[in-house]
Amino acid sequence: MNDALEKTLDEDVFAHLHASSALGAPLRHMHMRSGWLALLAIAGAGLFCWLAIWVVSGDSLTLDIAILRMVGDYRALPLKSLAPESFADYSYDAGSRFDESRFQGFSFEGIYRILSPYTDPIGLALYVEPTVGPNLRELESKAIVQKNFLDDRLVFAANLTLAQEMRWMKTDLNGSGEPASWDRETDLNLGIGVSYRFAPNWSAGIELEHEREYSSFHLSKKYRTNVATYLGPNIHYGGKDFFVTATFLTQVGGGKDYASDAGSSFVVGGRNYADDFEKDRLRIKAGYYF
Amino acid sequence: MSNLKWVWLPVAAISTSVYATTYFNVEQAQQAIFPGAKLTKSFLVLNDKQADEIANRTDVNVRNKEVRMWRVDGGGYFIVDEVVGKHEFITYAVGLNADGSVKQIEIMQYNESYGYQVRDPKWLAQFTGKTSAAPLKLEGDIKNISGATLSSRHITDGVKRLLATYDVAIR
Repeated sequence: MNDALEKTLDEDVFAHLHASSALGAPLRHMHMRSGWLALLAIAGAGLFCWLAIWVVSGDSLTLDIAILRMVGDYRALPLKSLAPESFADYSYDAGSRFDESRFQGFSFEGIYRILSPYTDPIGLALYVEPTVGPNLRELESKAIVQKNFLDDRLVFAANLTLAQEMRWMKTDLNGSGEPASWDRETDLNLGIGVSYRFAPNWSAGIELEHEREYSSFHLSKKYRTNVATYLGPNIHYGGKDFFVTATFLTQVGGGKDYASDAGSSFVVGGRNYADDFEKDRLRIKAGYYF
Repeated sequence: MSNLKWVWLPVAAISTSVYATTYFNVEQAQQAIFPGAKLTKSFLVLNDKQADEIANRTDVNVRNKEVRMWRVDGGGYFIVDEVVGKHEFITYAVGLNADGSVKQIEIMQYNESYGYQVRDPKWLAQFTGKTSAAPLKLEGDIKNISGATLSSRHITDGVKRLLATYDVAIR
């Protein structure tokens, strides 16, 4: 029997990364994933949350409804900061309080497992997630590699992610009156993680994510804009009817802002504070089996 | 940072495992595999050399050196073992004939919400007659169960380990 098309419940010991061993669960099972919540903890200024509900709708297909909620007080930030990228088309004063919510869009998430970490030397899966929203078109693709040790209690995973997105900009960010247009961007991310099941039902580990952003669909030096690296712990509980996984990431040094000159750089103390790069990120996944 | 504390509460509030499903206790499993037979407790502990040899022969980790074994009057062995499941351990019993071949396997305790097909007598019957000379490889001489790959793999590995244990430390 080939398990490559097993229904994926996406129970994962990682919250930011994906493992290729997302469980094969019967189709009758529903999947709910409560998305990610990132906290701009710098000066205790802002709270940025993104809640999403995913519902399994097929073998390896997930219907995803994302609702974005952002609350923040940027007056306390030590630099001229932008609102999160999802609000890039909003007009606001950078030094004032920003408090908005918006519907982000619908996504379809599909994972196809080519090699199983349980029956092959490594696990390998391909992931694709197109997103369509009122102001957003995005295609996120991942190659997921996994290697297990110690009776599958110790899990290593690596993700290479390519996300190409277009955002509808009513005006350009500088307010120079340019006509509305689709703003193009590519994110190229490399994530690695490890998780160990230290007790029945419980796993914990570390995840690292290195992110590179380009202002085009072309990945050349000419278009690179921002670089940031995140590191932090994760914890997972898998029960009979539900699971919860949480990962907290904090941005470590090495941030780069290639798009700005030295005077207006979004990099402070080695961290990048551009619109897609929070200081801290917390993501929680939760699932319940019917 | 203090704003983050509330997020961990749901995780902290979750108790440890409480949903074990027991299908057989030891006596019931003994009667299912060796009906009417008299069994004598004969637990043993593998030494390091034996454990290493079993691991080398099978490429399966010897996680617990204690072998919970009963000898069957008239020949045969009854062993209770545990393997790692997705969330918890799977407890199962293996009955060996006097010649060390598999007589019957029963899942005693299975705690996962799915993958229960490993209890299917047809799937377990694949092991009947197997000896330590058999490959005992999932998707080889043992069929996989879609949706229960991890449980299938670990039970297959567990039986392989016990058959090597018979060769190295029991007969």
